[in-house]
Amino acid sequence: MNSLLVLVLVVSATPDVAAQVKERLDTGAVVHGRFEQQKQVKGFKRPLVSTGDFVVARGHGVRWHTASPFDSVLTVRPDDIRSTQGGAEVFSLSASKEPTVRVINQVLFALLAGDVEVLRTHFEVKGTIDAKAWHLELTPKAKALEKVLARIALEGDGFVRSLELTEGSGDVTRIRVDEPSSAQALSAEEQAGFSK
Amino acid sequence: MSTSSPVPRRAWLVFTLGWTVLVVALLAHQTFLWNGGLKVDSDVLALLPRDEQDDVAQEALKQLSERASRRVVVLVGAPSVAQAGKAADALVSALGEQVTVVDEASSLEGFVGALTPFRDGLLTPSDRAFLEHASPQLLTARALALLHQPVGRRVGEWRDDPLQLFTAFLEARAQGTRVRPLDGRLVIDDGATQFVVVQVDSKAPAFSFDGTRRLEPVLEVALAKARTAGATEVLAAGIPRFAEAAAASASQEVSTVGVGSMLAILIVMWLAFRSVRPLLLVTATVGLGVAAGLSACVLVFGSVHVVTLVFGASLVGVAEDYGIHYFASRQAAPDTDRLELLWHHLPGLSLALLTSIAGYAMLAVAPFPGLRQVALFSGVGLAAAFLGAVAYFPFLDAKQVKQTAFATKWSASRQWWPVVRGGRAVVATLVVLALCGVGFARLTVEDDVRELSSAPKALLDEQLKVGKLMGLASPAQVFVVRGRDEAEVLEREEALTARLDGLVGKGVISGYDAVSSWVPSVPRQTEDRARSVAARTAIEHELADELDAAPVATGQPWRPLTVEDVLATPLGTRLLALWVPSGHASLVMLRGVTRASLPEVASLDDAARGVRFVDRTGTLSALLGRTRVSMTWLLVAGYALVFAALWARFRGRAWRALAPTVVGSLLAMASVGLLGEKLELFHVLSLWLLLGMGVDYGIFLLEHPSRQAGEAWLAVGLGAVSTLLSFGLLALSSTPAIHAFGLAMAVGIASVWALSPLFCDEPA
Repeated sequence: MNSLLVLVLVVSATPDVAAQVKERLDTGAVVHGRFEQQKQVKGFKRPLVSTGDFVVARGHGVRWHTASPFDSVLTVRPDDIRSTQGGAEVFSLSASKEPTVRVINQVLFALLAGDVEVLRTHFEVKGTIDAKAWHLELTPKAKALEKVLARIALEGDGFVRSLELTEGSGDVTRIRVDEPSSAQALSAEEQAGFSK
Repeated sequence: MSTSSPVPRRAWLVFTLGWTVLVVALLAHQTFLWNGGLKVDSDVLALLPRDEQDDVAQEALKQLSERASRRVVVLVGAPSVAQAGKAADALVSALGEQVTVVDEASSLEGFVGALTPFRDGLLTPSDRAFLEHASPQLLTARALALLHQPVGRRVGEWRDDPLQLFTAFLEARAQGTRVRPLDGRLVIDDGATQFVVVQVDSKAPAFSFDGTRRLEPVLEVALAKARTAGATEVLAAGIPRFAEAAAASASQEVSTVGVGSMLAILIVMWLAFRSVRPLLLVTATVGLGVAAGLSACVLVFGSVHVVTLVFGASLVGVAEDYGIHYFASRQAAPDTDRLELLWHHLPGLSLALLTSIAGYAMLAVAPFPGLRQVALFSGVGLAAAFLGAVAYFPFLDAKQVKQTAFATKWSASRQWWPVVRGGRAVVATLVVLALCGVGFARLTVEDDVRELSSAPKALLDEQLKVGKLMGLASPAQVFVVRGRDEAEVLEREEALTARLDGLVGKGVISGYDAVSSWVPSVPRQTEDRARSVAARTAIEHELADELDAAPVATGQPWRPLTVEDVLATPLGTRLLALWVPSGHASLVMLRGVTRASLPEVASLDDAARGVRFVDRTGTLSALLGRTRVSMTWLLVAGYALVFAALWARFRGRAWRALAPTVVGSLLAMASVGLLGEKLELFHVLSLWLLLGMGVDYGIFLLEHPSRQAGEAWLAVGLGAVSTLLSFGLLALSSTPAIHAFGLAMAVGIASVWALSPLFCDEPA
């Protein structure tokens, strides 16, 4: 139905890729970072650039804060997804009403946390791995999904460093992660951000 | 015994020949029926009355149930979708040739594609409100915010729908069900358990006379296979399971009642007559009666319902009365000419037949088609058995009827029965009154239409669970929306759903299914399209510096989506099952209606604007209650009428024929209370039949009042034993209504039988 609704679960992929990526990743439960996102959208003359910061926390989800060109927050928790702009809600979906939310949130979390084990339930995973860095190519397992999300490229070392999502329409989203760092727990302020 | 006119022998012969022509025609019809011409109904709905006022609702509900009549839904649950999927595959392969698998998952994509050209006119209420008030800057900011999000909810290109309005519309529609497409499967996410939905259409017919289940054994094996393949929970639902369970229990009850009563007749007749001929002749009249009842039902109704068959099986124990009576009198007067003997008994027998038929006919007064079938079946069957006995017995029964020790003893036992008079009468009356007092005090009333269904509780529970997991709306309470044409129906529906949205907001109901949710009215689509286009134009204008030149519009010009458009899509008939094509009407089905919320929901009924609330369960239960009350009052009139008929024949002694039935009826009602059961319409109906039959015993005995004339007592006794058994066996039925009927009849018949001689005073 759309990119959120048609994410699909099937199991395959080699276990060693997952293990090798995991070996190289930082073990912190919380990852912070800043991002720069470039979107190439059909119809726009120039790529759309946005920057901001994010938190990925195991058990809590993802908080994606866009600071520029304007302030907005996307909060992805295990059971819901919510987008606000200047405090006003743009959209929200809960897993109890829209069950696919759980899958979307799982995938988004896995992409930013580099959790290959989760990703390979939804994607064919191919990769190259050297001493420190790794590079993965993901293609969706479900044909229906391919029309929406053609492929994903994922790069990292101790952290996920870049993401490239190519949509079925040809639009491309490139995300670069800057200054990633890890922690064992959320700060009180971050915690409050998730519970809003 | 009255002196009678000379026997019209020639006329009798003509009658017998004429009747034979009818019997031959009947046999021909039966041959046709038993070679595939017989249609047996097992749908409980077929027993319920059609409310003339909501014929549209009827048509739509019928359309729904017809589509669902073969559909079985199985939910295969496991911790992961992959595991559930594997188990589901095992299930489907085990079901094999018995079913056709229905694939709805793959039709979904084409469906979204088919709606896409119309998307500008399709808005959710919250988006409509937003577009109404948002400034171009706010619109643009939201469009960009959505665009900047790392995950998109977009369908198609950004430029076509920068605010993701169509996505929101589709998401809102998807809220109607918890079922989601996932990798070519339909999946329900229930937290810890993931259910894969398997939909199949059963090929097996629900009813078979031998009572074999075709679907259930296959289904059970398949469910077991799914469990071994990793499913942790498997739930199956669907009308075929209920229909098959109903048919199987009905056909078992038909044979229990039929065979049981037949055996009883054969045994008592053998004991009484010790001769094959009476046995064969009486069996033949019973067969004739059942066949005639069946043929009449098929000719009048086009098919016969399983409940009629169960009920009809009890006819076996009633239709034999006339034959038995004939042979008992023959035994008592072996030397009398057979025609003369029967001619002599004819007035009494005819009166007995008429009262029985009248009793059955009263079932037809209740406004339930199922009862009309039962009445027709039994009335015609009884008449045919009677006419068969009259037409053939005097000619075919050539030999002398043997005297038997059993018959003699039984006949003599009448002398042991005391006649009620004086002090004994007072004591007896007090005992009866005390019993009735206790019984009546404990009587409570129940008018629930579900009493008509014999659905096993386990199946019902499973069905409920599946409905809850899938988020299905209930067809028990619906709104019927009518209009001149499609446009008016949709507009009226929107007025209704706006008010329903209020109830959803207040938590009175959890949701509803409506056609206009998918196909908004033309004015609404036109307005919404204008809003969408204006918003898009504003955003394009604001972002003019960032955007390429606007693409030249291609393709068809916009027009509003119609019901026909949706019906033409792969999921159309499924989504718009609530549309009544011929009636310019639609149904709105509700989710999460509770008893407490009913009045508030019902208050949205608005006949002036074509909206009618139909509470099938409530209406039918109320109808059962009203019928119960009116049939009780009518019963009093019925007694008066029967008394008048008896008066014509017996004058001052007429009350003696009626009194046992009155007391028997009171005791039957009291027994309902004493057994802790609830009084319902079917008990009252049984009193009608009891009146029709019980009074026969009184008539037979009053016709032969001498306590030495035991043959009438023998005939009544033999008849009562088989009648008692027939209705006693009905009381074992798993359908509460049939059970109630059988129980009250059995108690009543037994009482009347035992009481009749007490009131039968020898004339001075």
